[in-house]
Amino acid sequence: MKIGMKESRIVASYAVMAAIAYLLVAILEITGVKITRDILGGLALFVISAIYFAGIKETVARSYKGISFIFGGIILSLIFGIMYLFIFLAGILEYMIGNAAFPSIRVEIILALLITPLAYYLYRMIK
Amino acid sequence: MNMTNNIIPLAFMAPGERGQIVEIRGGYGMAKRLYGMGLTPNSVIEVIVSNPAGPILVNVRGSRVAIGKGMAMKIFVRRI
Amino acid sequence: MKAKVAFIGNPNVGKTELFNRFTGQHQHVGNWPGVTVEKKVGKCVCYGNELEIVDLPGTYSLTAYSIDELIARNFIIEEKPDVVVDIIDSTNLERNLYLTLSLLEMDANVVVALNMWDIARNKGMEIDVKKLEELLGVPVVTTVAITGEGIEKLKETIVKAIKGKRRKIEWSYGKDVEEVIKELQEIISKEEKFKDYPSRWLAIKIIEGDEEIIKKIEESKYKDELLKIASRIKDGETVIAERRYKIIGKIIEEVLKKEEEEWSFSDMLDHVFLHPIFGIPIFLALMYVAFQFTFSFSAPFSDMIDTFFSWLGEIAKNNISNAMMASFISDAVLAGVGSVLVFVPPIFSLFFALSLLENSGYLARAAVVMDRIMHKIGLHGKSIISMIMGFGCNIPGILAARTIENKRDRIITVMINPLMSCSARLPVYILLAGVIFKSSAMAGAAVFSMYLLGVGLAIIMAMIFRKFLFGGEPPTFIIELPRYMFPKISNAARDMWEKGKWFIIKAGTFIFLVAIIVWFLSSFPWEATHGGVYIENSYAALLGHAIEPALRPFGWRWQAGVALFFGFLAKEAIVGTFGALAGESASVAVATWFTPLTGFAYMAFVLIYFPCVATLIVMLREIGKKYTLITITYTISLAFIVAGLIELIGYAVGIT
Repeated sequence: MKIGMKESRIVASYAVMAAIAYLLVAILEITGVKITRDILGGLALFVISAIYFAGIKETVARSYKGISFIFGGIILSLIFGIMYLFIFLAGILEYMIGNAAFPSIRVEIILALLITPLAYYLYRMIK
Repeated sequence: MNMTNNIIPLAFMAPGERGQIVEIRGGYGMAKRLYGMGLTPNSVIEVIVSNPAGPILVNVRGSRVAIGKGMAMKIFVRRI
Repeated sequence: MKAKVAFIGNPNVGKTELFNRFTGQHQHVGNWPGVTVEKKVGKCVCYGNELEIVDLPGTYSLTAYSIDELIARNFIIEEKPDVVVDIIDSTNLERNLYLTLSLLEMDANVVVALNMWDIARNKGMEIDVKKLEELLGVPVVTTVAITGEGIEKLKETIVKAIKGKRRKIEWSYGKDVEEVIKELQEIISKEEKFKDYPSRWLAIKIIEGDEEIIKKIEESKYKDELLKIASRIKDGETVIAERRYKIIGKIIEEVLKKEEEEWSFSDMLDHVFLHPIFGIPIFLALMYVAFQFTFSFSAPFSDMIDTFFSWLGEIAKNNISNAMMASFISDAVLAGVGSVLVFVPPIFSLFFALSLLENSGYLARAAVVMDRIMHKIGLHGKSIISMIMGFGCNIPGILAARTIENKRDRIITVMINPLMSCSARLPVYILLAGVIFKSSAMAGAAVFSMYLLGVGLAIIMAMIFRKFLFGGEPPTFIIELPRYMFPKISNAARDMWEKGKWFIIKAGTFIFLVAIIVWFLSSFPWEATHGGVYIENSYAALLGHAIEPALRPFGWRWQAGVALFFGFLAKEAIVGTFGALAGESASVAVATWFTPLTGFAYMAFVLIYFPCVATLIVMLREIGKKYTLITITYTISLAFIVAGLIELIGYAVGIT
C-alpha cells in the first residue's frame, strides 16, 4: 500500500508541530524557566522531539520509514503522558489524606492529549 | 561468479540482504540453540538491521531473532 | 475424573495468558526440584473433570541444551501427562511446529492450540485447520488467549483427548536416516532399560547425539552397536534439524496461504526503537519512565504506610502504661513492620512496570540496544535494566536480573547491584556533604560523585568477576524478538502480585526480627539508657566502641561506627542514628565528627560497605549462599580500600 499524498502531508505537518512543542517544553524543563526544573525529564522530551523531527522528511516522501518515526514518537508521547497521569493521581491521593499540597499537572500529560488525534488518524491510516 | 567468495559470515551481511545458511561453525550447544530458533543449514534468512552498534537482526522462518556479533561470525551464509 | 495436563510452547506465544485463563486464581508457584526454574501448577475443573495443569518452561525444542528444555522433556517422559497442550503462535507456524514434531515423536498425547489466531487473521494468513489436524494426527483448536476466544473449545478438546488415542503419524526423515532409525529401533526394543522410552524418539535422539540420551545408552550392553549404527549419519544433529524443518515446510505448504505483507506495526517500531542513533536515547527515556513510575508513583503509598505506622506507634506509646512494653510495641514491633511495608509499594510498582515492558515486547529490544556496551564490560544486554533499577532500590534491581537466562550473567549482574547507589543512601550523602563542604556546589558535586563512583566500581567489579570467577568467557547473545503487543493490565497486575508477595511474607519476617534486635541493642541496659533515650549507654554504644579500632585509621568516631552498624538494617538508619547519638540535630554532630576529607571517605564507605539486610535476603534467594557471601566479603573489603585510597590521596595532595 502506498501512503496517500494528502495523508502524508497532514501527518507531517502535525508532526512538525509536535516536534516543536516537545522541543520548547524540553528546553523549559532543562533550564527550569517557567516550570519546575527537571533535567532528566527534559532530556527525555528532547529525545521525543528529535524522533518527530527525524520522521518528517521521509513522511513527506510518503515512505514507511518516515511514518515509523512518527509512530514511535506517538507511542513515547502516550507512554510519558500516561506515566505522569498515574503519578498525578497518586499525588491527588496523598493530597486527600492531607500529606501534601495538591499536585500540579505535568505538561507531558497535556502534550499527550494533544497528540491523541494524530495517533488516531495514523492508526486509521495504517490499518 | 566465484561461489566461494559468495559465502560470508552472517555478521558481514548488509540490511536488506538475503542469504541461505551454509554452515554453522560452533560448539554443540550453540548449534542446538540455533536450530531450535530456526537457524539451520539451508534456511533462508533476511537481515533487517545490522550496524556496528550491537547485534544483527534477522528474519528467519517467520520469526525475528537478534544475534550477537560473535555468534554471527560463526554462521556462514551464501548470498542470494 | 482427574487428569494431568501439561502446557508447553515456545517463548512469547501467550502460554502464560492461556494458563491464567484456565486456572484463574488457583495456581501455585514453586520451583522444579533441584533447580531455580519456576514451576507453575494450577487447577481447573472442566466438564466435571479435575485437571491439574502444569505450565512447562517456554522452549524452542526438546534437546538437552538448557535446563528449561530438560525439565520439559523429563516431565513428559517421566510423569506421562494425560494431555500435552502445545501452544503455537499462529503467525509463525514454521518455527513453532519444530517443537510440535518433537512432542509427537515422544508419543505425547498432544492437543495443538493455534494461539494469536486473531493476529494471523488480521495479517491475512489463512490456515487450514482441518488439514493441519489430518497431517499432524492430533486435534487442533484456534485460540486467542488475550480475549478468551476459543478457550471453551480448547477445554472441550482436552477433556475429549484424555480418553482418546491419537492417530500415529510418522514423517520420513529421508531414506538414509529412516534405515538407521529402523535398525536402532530393533536393538532398542531388545533392551529392558529402554522400555519407558518411545523407541523411535530414542533412535532419533541417538542420531542427534543428545548428551543425556548418550549417557543412558552407555549403561546398556548394546552401547557399541547402537553408536556404530548411528555414526552412519554424519553430523546427525544438523541432518535431523534440517530434515525436520523440511517436513515442516511440506506441512506448511499444504495448510497455509499467506498474503505478502506490508510493514507491520512491529516493523515500524523496530525501525525506530532499534535505530543506531535513537535506540539508546529511547531506551534511556523508557527506563526513565519505569524509574519514575516505580519511585514517584509509589511514594505516596509508602508515605501513607509510614504515617499509619507512626500513628499506631504513638497510640501504643500513649496507651500502654508499662514503658518497656510501650517501647517494644511502638519502636520495635510497629516500626519494624512499618519499615518492611514501606518497601512494598515501590517493589510492586517496579514489577508492574517491568511486566508491562516485558509483555509489550520491549525488554528484548532493550537488551539488543544495550548489548554492545554491556558486552564490553563482561555483562549481558539485560544487565542494564537491573543496574538502573538499583539506583532506586537494590531489591527491585536484583529482582530485575531474573530476566537474564544465563545463570552466570545473572549472578554477576546481581553481585554488582549493591554498588548502584540506592535512594536510601541519598539522605546520608546530603547530610554529610551539606555539613562538611562550604559551598553548596561542592556539596552537590560530592553527592553526584558518589553515583559515578558506584557505577565505576560496578564496571570494574563486573570485569573482575567475569575474569576470575567465571573463567573469562563473555556472554553469547541470541534472543528472539517477539511481536510488539499492547500489554494487558490484568496480566501485569497478576505478575506483580505473584512476584511481589513473597517479599511481604519472607523478607517481612526476617527484617522484622532484625528490627527487634536493633531496638534491644539501643535500649538496653534499660536503666542506663533510660528506656532508649541515652543511646551512648546502650549495648549499641558498646558495639560502636568495639568497632572503633577498625575505623580510627580513617579518623571516624565510635558514633560513626554505631551508625554503620545500624546501616546494615537499612542505610537510611544512619542519619537517624546520628541524630539519636548527638541528642540534637544531626548536622551539628556531624560538623564536629568529620573533616571534609574523612567525611567524604565516610560517604564512599557508606556507598560500598554492605548491602542492607533486606537486599541480602533477596540476594540469598536469587543467587544462593556462596555468591552472597562473596558479595558481602568484596563489598566490605572494597569499602575499606576505597575509603583508604580517598584519604591517602587526600593527604598526599594536602586536603584534610
